[in-house]
Amino acid sequence: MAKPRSPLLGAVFGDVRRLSLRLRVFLFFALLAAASVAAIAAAAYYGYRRLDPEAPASAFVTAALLGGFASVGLATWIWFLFDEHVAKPLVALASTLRSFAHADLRGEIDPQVARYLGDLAPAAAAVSAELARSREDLDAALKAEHERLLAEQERLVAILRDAPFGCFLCADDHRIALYNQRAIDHLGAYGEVGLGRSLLSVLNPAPILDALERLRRREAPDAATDLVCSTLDGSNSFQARMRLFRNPSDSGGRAGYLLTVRDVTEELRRLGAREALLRDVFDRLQRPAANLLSTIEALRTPAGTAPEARARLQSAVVDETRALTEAVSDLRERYAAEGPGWWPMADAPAGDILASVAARMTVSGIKVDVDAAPLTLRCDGYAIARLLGDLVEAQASRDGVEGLKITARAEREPKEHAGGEARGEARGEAAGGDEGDEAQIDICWRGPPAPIGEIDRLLDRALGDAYRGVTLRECLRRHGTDIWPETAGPGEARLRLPLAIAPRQTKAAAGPERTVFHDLRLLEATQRRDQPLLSELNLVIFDTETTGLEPHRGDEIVQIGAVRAVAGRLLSDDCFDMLVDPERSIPPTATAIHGVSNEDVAGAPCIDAAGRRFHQYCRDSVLVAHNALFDMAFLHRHADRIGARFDHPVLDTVLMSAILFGRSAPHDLDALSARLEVGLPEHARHTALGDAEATAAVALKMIAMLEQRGIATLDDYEREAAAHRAFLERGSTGAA
Amino acid sequence: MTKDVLVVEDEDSIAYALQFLIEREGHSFRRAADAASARSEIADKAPDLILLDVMLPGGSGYEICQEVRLDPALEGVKIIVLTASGDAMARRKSLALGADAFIAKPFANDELQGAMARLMADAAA
Repeated sequence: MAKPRSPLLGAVFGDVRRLSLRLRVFLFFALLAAASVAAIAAAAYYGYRRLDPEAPASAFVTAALLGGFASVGLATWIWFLFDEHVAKPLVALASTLRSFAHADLRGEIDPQVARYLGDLAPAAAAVSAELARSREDLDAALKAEHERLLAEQERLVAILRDAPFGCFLCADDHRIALYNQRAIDHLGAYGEVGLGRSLLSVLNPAPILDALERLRRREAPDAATDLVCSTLDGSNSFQARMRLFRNPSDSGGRAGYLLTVRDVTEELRRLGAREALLRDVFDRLQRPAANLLSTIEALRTPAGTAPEARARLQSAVVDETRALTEAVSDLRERYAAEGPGWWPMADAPAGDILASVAARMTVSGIKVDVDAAPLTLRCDGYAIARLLGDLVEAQASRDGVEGLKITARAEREPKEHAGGEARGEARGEAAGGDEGDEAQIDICWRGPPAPIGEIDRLLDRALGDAYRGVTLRECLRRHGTDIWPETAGPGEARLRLPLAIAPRQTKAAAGPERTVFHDLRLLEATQRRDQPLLSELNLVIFDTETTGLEPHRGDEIVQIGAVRAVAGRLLSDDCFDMLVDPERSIPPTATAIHGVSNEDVAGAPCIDAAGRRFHQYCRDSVLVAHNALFDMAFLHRHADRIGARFDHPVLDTVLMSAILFGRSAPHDLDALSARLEVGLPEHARHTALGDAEATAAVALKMIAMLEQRGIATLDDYEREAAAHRAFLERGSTGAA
Repeated sequence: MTKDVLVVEDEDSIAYALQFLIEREGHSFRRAADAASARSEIADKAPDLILLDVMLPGGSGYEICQEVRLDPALEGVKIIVLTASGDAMARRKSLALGADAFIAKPFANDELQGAMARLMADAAA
C-alpha cells in the first residue's frame, strides 16, 4: 500500500515517477551533488561570517566541520533511502520470485513493493503472470495425460486388490512402492508396513538379499525365484516368489523386485503337529502293546498259572490296557483338535451358495425356497452347493415331501461334554438372536424325516470330475462337519449341515476395505550420491501437544501427531495420532490451547509405550518439526523409559524459514503458512496431527526452495542451519 | 431290577467284555452282530437299553437309532452309541438322531457303567 502523501510533497514529487528510472537516478545524484555543494558553500559562508582576523584558522575548521557533518548526514539519509526503496524491495522481490519459481506459488506481485524502481515490479509481475499461464497450460496437458495413465494404473491395481496373496513392489533399496491389503494381513502385526519403508524392517533380510542377488546374477529381465522367508522375529513363515522389476522409465540404476508372499505358518505348524502326532502314535502305542503281548504270553505259560503270578500278570494286563486306552483317547483328541486336513477353502456368502442351489433346482424342475442370513461361510462353495443340490433332489423324489426350503443362519456351536449327555442336551440351538459362531444350513420340508441310510448312500457319490474321485462324505470330513436328519416339529423335518463362518464374520468390526497402496515414483532409481537429496528423504513430520512449555520443569507430552512424506510426497493414509497420559494433571490453560483434557488422556498409554510406538513409526526416517528443539527435548528426556533414542537426523522448519527468508522475517507456523500459501483449517490448529500436517506442507515447499538455493542434502542443510541455530536457541521465534 | 440289554456289536471281543459287564450288574444280555439281526432282535422284544456300535455289517448304527426313535412303540428304549469315531460331529449326530448318550471307544468300564446306571435310573423314574 502506498503511504498517503501531503499536498505539498505531492505537488513537488507527484510527477517524478513519470520520469524514466535512469533520469530519476541522474536527477537524484545531481540533487545529491547540488546539496553537497550547497552544504559546503553554506558551511564556508558560516565560517566566513565568523572569521576572526586574529585567528583565521578557526573559521576554516568550523567551516570544514560543518561541511563534514552535513556530508555525513546527507550520506546517511541517502543510505536510508537506498535501503528502504532499493535494497529491501529488491530482496522482497527476489524472495517472491523464488517462491513463485520454486515453490509453485501463483500469487500476484504488488507493484508498490518496488514503486521507486521504475518498471522492475511491473516487469516481474508480467513474468510471473506469464509463468503462471505457462504452468496452467502445462498442468492441463499433464493432467489429461495423468488421468489416462491413472485409469490404466487403476485397472492394473484392481487385479492385485483381490489377489489371494500378499504383494510387495520394492525399489532396489527395498523401499516399498506398492503393497496390497493381503500384505498387511500377513505382515501388519510384525512391524510398520508402509510406502517408502524398507521391507527388510519387517522380513528377515537374509533370504530376501540372497534371492535378489541370485536373480541379479542371472541377468535375465524376467527372472524369478522361489524362496521361503520369515518375519524378523521368526514367528511367521512365508512361501514367496521374487521377480525382478525394472521401471520402464528408468534406463539406468538397478532393478527393484516384486515379491508375492503366502503365509504358510499354519500349514507348517499343522504339518509339524501331524508329524509329532504320528511319532507319538508309535511311541505311546508300541510299548503297552508289546507289554500286553508279553504279559498275555506269560499268562499262557505253566508258571503263569500259579495263583500269585497270575494275579500279578492280570494286574499288569489291566495297567497296560489302561495305558493303551488313555493313549488312544489322548491321541484322538489331539487329532480332532487339529481339525480337518487341507481343502481349498474360500470365503463365500451363504446367500450366493443357496441361490446357486435354487438355480440348479429350477433347471431340474424342483421348486425350493431359500432364506439366507447375511453370513459368509468358510468353505468350498462349489462343493457345498453340489452337496446341497444332490440332497434337495433326493428329498424332492421322496413321497410326501413338500414345501422344500433351504435356510442359512448363525448359531452358537454346542459346548462339548465329557460324555453321557442326556438326549436333546446338545442340540445346537442358539441362545437367541442371529449371533453365533457356526452357520447351520438346513434343508427343511413338510413330510416324513429323511432315512439316514439313504443319506449315507448318497454321500458315497463322487463330488465331480474336478475332484478326482473325492466323495461327498470326504468333502464333509475335510470341512470338519457332517450332515444328519432331524425332526423340526410336528409333520416337519430337516437335514442339518453345520459349517464354519468365515473369521471376519464372527467379529463385530468389519475388516478394512480391500485396497492397494502404491506410489510407483518410489521405484525411480535415486542417483547414487554420497547423500540423498532432501526431497528424496523419508520424512516423518511431527508435532507434540504438551502440558506446558518447560520440559525441564516437569511438563509432559499429552499428544503426538505425525504424518509421513516419501520422495517429496505426503502420504495421506499414513499418519500417527496418539493421546499420551502425562501422568500429571493438564493445566486448564494448556487444555484451552490444544483441547486435550485430563479426561481425554485417561486410559491412554504413558510416554514409554507411546514413545516406543512413535519410535517404531519413525524408523529409517528423518524427523521434521516446527521448532524441533522443543519437541525433541520432551522425547530425549524420556529415552530411558522408552527404551530407544530419537537420534534421527532432524530438520527444523523454523531454521529452514530463517535460511530462506532471513532472520528478521516472522517464522511462526501461521506466518509461514500464509507466506507459502498453505491452507490451515482453524479446527486443525493446535492439535498435534493438524499442526504436523501444516508443518509438513510448509516443509515440503521449503525443501524445494532450499534445493534451488543449492542446499540439497542434509549436510548442506546442517552447514546453513548452524549459523541460524544460535539465533533460534535465544528464543527469538514465536514457535511451538 | 434286571433290565434287558441288547448289544449291537460286530466285534466278538468287545461283545464278550460287554456281556461280562452287563451280567455282572445283574442285567440280561442279548447280542446282535449286524444291522439285520439288530432289527430282528428289537422286533422280537423291545429291549430296555441298546448299546449300539455305529459301524455294522449291512448298515449303520445311526440307521438303527433313527428307526427306534421313529417307532412310537419303542419310545422308552434307551440308546447308548459306541463308536471309535470320537469327534464332536459324531457326538452331535448321534444325539440329534435320538441317542441318549454317546461313548467313544476305547472306553473305561466305569464310564460305561455310569452311563448305563444313569439311563436305567431315568427309565425307572
